[in-house]
Amino acid sequence: MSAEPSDGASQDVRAAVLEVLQTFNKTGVNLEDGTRFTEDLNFDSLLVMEFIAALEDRLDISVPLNVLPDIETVGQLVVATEQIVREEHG
Amino acid sequence: MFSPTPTSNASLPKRLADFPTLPDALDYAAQGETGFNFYSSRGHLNEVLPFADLSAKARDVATNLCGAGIVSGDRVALLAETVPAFLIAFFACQYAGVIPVPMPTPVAFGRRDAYVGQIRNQITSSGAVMVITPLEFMPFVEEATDGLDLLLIGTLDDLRAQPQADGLSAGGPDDLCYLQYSSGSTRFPKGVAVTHDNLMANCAAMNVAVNVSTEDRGVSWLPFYHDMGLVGFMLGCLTSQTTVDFIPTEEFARRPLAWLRIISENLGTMSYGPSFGYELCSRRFSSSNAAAPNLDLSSWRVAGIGGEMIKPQVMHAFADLFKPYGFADTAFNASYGLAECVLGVSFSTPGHGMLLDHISKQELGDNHRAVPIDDDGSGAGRTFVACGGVIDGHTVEIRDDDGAVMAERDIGRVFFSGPSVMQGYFGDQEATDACLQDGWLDTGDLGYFWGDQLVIVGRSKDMMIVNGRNYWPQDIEWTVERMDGMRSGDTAAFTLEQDDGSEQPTILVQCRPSAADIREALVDDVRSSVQNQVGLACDVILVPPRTLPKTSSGKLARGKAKANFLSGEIQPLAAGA
Repeated sequence: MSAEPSDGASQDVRAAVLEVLQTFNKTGVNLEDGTRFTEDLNFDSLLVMEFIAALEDRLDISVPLNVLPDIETVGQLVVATEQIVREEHG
Repeated sequence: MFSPTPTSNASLPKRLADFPTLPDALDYAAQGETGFNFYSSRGHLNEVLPFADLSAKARDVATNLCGAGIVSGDRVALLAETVPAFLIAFFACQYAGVIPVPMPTPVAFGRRDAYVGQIRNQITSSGAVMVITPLEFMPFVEEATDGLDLLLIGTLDDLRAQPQADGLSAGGPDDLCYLQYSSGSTRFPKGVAVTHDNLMANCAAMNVAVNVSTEDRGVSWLPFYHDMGLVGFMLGCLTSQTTVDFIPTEEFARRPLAWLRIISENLGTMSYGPSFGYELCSRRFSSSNAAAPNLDLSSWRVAGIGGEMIKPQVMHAFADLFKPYGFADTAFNASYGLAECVLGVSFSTPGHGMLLDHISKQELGDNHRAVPIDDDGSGAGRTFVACGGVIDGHTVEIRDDDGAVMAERDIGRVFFSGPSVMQGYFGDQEATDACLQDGWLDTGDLGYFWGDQLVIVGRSKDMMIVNGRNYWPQDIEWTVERMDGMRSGDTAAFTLEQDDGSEQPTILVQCRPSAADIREALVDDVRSSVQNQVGLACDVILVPPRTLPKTSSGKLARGKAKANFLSGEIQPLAAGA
């Protein structure tokens, strides 16, 4: 594991988030930074959990619940996920 | 290396909830080896809390409550995460004679404001003087308590840092034991107030109803801020000294199969969930193609179902899928209950499986009669699951609109009486009087008797249950009526029952503009507001102005709006192009 996150690592996280999210995207909406989970993607609380589980498995991380209420868009999720990856995988 | 608490106590005789108060029950359980275990969804045993440890730690923290300036009868709000700290704080309150108020934890993307508003309403409604929360939720609690003058807002460790003092003692059988906020709406919360006597009466009756023995072991993923998790597993099992293995609810939602794996590994015998919990397992198991050669569910004696309308086909699918792993459908145990009766009202006989009643839709709708017909696949009938017999020492009556007791198979309102009935809604006499008279509780549900079996067909009150969560139409209407161009009384929210037993949330919206694009935009705006503020995917139907019926006092007649919509008297407008 590298000590400093490189731009490359950050790109990997973004790609992984989008890849997992695409499998849960039943609305066909384009996934952009401003795409909103509830309004645009129709995520309900069950789907959120199912998606988080898939993301955790994909990146081998544990997403703490307290980050969820502040995440409304795909871009915010990418930033939060990058931070978790940095903390857990240094 | 540590291991979970054992299923049986070595020598302590089993006692089934025959204690005067909850602290007495814990003191007794603390003499044995059983207790609570906390697992992660990946099956890792995180923490072990034998009843002996729980009792010692809770007694210790009770002195901090006293030192912090709490007085007997005060309320303390507790964010109810599935961790030992919540239980220690809950029972510290018990030993100090103060009243714990379990509150929900956040579970969804966004909606920060809605969540903060919800817990603020519960804190002010209960008049809590202290809030104890896990560290990670502190920012929400600080925002929710902004401007409130409280003794302490902090973690269990913060509470332990308070001075220790004696002088508080546990409450008596007639004192309030806890407040539970799962039944009110988020805007207008109602705290169910229950005494130690009420709690013990219900736990004792439930223990008898499911034949709890020394061989039993509970497994639960139900949240502590709902009655089924709080009473069914945390308090109910404690009053019978039964070990429980807990999985945090949000972890269950992420990896539901952990539930089954822990039952299998620990030889769990009793576990409950709403239909959707079983559905989640089936769905994930099928999609993961998980080979599970070591899964053995043959120990599972009571697979309880409750908390929402039971969908028989979902349960059949689960039973078929897990039969190769030792699951027996005779373990299904349909039950009915509500927080206003502590928890349980009726239970099926263990080992008998589900009893199904297939009745005529026409008789159901036109004459409010449950008339059995053949299930010939014609769609003329609906299948209901019997929720079992009424618990010992309690009575259920089915009454008509005039209060007269109805005959078998007549459908009416379900009334309940007996020692489990709550004292009322905390600090809300009006709401209490509306449902509780002469010791009889109007459950707000509709049902009928089939022999000694209670069958629930729907609700006469307005609450919606979707995927096991409760929603209130008032919250949905309030959200929409605050939008630009909307007025109070412009909306009516309710659910439409589907043939499979599920409920589709629906909102009628009075619409003045006639341009197609404006209408289309309105439908989208309403849908996304409800999604964002309430967290519910709702069908939005535009109707002409002044079509929603009002009561004589000018309030929305929600039930009549729904009936008029179903009968075609209210016709939808074309939504857009």
